[in-house]
Amino acid sequence: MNINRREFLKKSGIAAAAAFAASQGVNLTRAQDMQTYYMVSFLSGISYWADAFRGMQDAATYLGVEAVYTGTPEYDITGEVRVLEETLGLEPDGVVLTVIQADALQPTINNAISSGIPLVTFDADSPQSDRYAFLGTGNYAAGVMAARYIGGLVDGGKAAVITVPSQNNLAQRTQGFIDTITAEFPNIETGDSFIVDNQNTSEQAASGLAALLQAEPDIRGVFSSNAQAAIGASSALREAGLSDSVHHIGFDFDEGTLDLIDNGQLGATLAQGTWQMGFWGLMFAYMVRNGNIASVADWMSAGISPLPPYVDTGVVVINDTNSQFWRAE
Amino acid sequence: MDSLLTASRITKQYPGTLALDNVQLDLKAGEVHAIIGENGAGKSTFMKILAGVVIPDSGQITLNGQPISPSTPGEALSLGIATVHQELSLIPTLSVAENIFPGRLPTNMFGMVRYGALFKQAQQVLSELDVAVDSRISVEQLSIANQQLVEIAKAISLDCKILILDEPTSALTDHESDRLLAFLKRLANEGVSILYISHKLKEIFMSADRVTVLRDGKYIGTHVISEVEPDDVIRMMVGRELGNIYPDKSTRVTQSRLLEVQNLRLPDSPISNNFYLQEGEILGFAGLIGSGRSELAHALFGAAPRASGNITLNGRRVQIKSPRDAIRLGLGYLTEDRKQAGLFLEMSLKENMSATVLDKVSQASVMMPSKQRVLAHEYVQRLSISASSIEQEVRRLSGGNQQKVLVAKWLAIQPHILIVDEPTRGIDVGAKKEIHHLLRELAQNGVGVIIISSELSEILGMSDRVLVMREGAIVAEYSGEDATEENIIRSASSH
Amino acid sequence: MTVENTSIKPKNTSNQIVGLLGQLVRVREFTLVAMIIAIAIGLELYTGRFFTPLNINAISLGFSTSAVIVFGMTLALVSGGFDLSVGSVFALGGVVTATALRSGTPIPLAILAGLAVGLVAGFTNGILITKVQINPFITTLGMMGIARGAALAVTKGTTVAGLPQEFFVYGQGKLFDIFNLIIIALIIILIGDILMRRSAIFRQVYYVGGNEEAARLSGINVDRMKIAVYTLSGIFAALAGILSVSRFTVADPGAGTGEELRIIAACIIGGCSLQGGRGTVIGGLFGLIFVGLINNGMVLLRVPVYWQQLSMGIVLLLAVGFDTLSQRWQSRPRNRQSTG
Repeated sequence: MNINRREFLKKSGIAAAAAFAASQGVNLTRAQDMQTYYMVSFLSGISYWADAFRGMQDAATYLGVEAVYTGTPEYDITGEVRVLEETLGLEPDGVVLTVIQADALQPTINNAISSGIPLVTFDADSPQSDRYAFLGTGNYAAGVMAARYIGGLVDGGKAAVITVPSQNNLAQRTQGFIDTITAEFPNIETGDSFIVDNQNTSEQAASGLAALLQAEPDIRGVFSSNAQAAIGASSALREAGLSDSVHHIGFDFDEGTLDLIDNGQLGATLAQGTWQMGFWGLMFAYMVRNGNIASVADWMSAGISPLPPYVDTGVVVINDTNSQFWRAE
Repeated sequence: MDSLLTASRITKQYPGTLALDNVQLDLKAGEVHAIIGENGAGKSTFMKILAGVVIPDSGQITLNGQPISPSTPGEALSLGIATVHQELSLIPTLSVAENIFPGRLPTNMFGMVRYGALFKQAQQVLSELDVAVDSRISVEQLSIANQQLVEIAKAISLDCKILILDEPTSALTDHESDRLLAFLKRLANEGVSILYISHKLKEIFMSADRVTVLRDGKYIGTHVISEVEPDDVIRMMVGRELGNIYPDKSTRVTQSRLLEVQNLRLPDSPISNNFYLQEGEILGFAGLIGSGRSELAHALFGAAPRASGNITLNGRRVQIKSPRDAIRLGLGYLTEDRKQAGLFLEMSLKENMSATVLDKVSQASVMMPSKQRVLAHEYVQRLSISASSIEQEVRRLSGGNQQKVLVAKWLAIQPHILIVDEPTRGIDVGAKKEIHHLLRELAQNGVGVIIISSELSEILGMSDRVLVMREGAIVAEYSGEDATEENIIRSASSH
Repeated sequence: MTVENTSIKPKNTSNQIVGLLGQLVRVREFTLVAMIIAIAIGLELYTGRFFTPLNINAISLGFSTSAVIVFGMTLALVSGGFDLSVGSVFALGGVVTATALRSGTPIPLAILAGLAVGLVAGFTNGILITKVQINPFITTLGMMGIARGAALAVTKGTTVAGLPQEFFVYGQGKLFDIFNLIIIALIIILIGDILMRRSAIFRQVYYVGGNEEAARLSGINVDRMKIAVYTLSGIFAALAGILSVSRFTVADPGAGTGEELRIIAACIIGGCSLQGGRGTVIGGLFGLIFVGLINNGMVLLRVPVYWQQLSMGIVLLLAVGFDTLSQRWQSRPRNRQSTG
């Protein structure tokens, strides 16, 4: 073959770079006359946001607008900032954003607001910023709920947490759990030394928990703060023959997790009101964008928020009695 | 004897050069046929065509009367043509045996390698060549000389009809070369045709039956060895009389010592060496392979660790801990293995020549291409380097021109002392002469030259004084009339 | 006569085989095995909880799926390249098989589907690297993104569950009280190791990796071999992914993230060189065991979780550094002579 190697490499390099950039998820097309609203996320591939976006799409259908999903595929702070900035460059009619890191996103959020783009946050907030509303339960509150579930079933012994320490949202869930166990269930021992880092994979969750079960023989409760952790931990407990004696609560309600609940490998999981976040988030943004907010004569000049600053979208514990309601058709 | 292989009107054009222009060859069964020519004469290219590595633009090759056109190395091998290339093509991480039989490992019915048989067969081939190397050790542990012998063993094991060798003795001592050539003659007597490229006239005249001369890609002629003189051959190669091969000895050696070395000792060695270099002279280091000459030079230059040693330059004591120190003090070292340790093959001529003098060709740490170009042009002219341009990759130059680039690289630092290790290995007569004259010119102008060489005639021809090393120690010094082949060989080898 | 020898042993067949092979191979792995044994003993002495069946099982399960990938990666590394796409193909293979199973495809067909995907991915890598001549780094990096994207697209980002119970026998079943998964992984490693040491066809990989030009000149079809290598790498990555799904009962499109680097590290610890021409499958397994022990050990020793990544990094550098130095010392040229 007579392809000039250097040239081709250059071209393939450019092509690869372009593909990579495109994979960052910025959608460059736009419907003609419809208003377009963007959901911006991080770890954009995980199923957790899928439910939120489903809510947003349901609202979009109802309102007759377009909803577009975008985000950075990794847990990458600068990545999300960039995607948000690029999205703002497209002059969207509104943005529904989940915040990977409050301080990092703050300047860009404020830019959006000051250039007249309605922006609300969901699931994770940037409270010091100018965003109009935050919809969510807070990851911390979810951790609290998990702790009460475990505390209610376990009488003494130890409790382990599987998480990714470098991820802010998971760290909040973990903190909520640990604080609550320590405060409300003092006969259960837990803390930083009972944390397993699963690096977002099931394999690491399994081997990490298996090792911890060796090191601490009296573990009676496990909280998996992400979906992969739940999958891995369930396997580890099964392989150690402890599925029936250790109580395990997970996070997220994807099909895999629900299956584990239904066949007894997982005791329960936490369902945050993600659909609500997406649905009401778009509703809120739409109302502001289309001038429907009339709480005062001119809220912008008055310097007040057009929207309720905080909406609690709720957390539910799913177990085998109600799991069927969360299954997709 | 009938012709076994004929080639006619072989032409090959490369961008910028016509490498072969209607070259012909006639190889008889069972003969030892040498090909000789200057740099760029086209010898390697021609050989690569026969080996299936390069495809000619036009021309015909016949084997036993049938036309052939080997288009891959595998094809050439299956036609019975085995080639030993100039660049070693061994796998360093594998054993000698696995290198001798690549792609032909003896297997059982499951396709599994029979290692016992492999090592035995390999050892057999090695002993035919009279090489005492264990076929089980990995190639990277061997010296270059033995690696070359393994390379040859590989070709021999193929049971070929035609064996082509490109500079097979370049890394061998005279003694090993003799053995190899004797073996080749034996092989020829058994009916194998040997075709080999060499610059060494002495070798050719000792062992070849016929010689073909190429010049600038053209076929000049083929002669029976017993019917020509070396001078005739040289004339055909260069197209002109060469006169004395070596420049005249020095007339201006002074007493002042450019370099004085005392108690130079290598780690793990009890031997301590002293020597000196005077202004205006060329000092030669002679000795057998393994006598430690290169090691000594490496240690002097700071490229290898020293256990002890006092070095005095022009009367001043200096510390040399690394090549950088050495270069800064005006020492240059042209290594024996230009491909491994001397040149940056992927880079251009220009870039290679700037390598030692980056500060001279840059301004405030930024490289100035214009300065690089000026430097390169100067040396291309001075050393008559033939290349299509200074941007050409050094990899593509012929051996002789590569060597000249290496010389230029060191001349660029304007050294006070230049150590050259095997400076004319694998180079044709014309280029050799140019380099010799250059070295002499440097010495006359006050640059101290130390020359290490395994070619006795080169040592004798170039040096004003000869130091002989044996097993890591300097054992003798000769100059003037005492510097004879016998004396040197005797000092180099007696126990 | 030029005499070069390292110890020439008496020339009977078994000695010859054991002799040289032992010399070349175990020198490198000896230090690794020694370190593994030392760590294991140390952990047992210090914590008393290391040598329990549960713990050993946990460690073994932990590296089983990776071990399957190690065979393919060793091939790639020895040939002078590497395969960055294994983590993504791992996920894609698992996801494709799971999706097929969920829609009722019979188990053998579903598994074949997953393997086929791995084959296609690997084959594509091979073609791009040899015929189009894009270097392995960019090629497999691109495939890494493509395969991952495909996995996400097929599953719409979510996990795949509802798989038939019979499928779980591979990942969860036991034979004589040892998990099938561990047995399967060890069998693959064993076969892989034997092939790479003894099979004439597989030995070609060492030639190509050691000196590609020389291999070519010796008549070895380098392109064909490389395509085969990357294809195998893809197949084994997919197989590992399928086995992983069988273990976890759920297919996750995000599985295997970061796996490629972990496996390359394990192979290099075990003796492979990034330049090619060196390395064994068993070595890669030992590398996995080594890393697995460190992970396990850190938890047993109650190293705070925040320090674990840091500690792992330090231990890796120390282990490889020590090993590299001892390797260099072992293969130093003996009686090496230049013309000097």
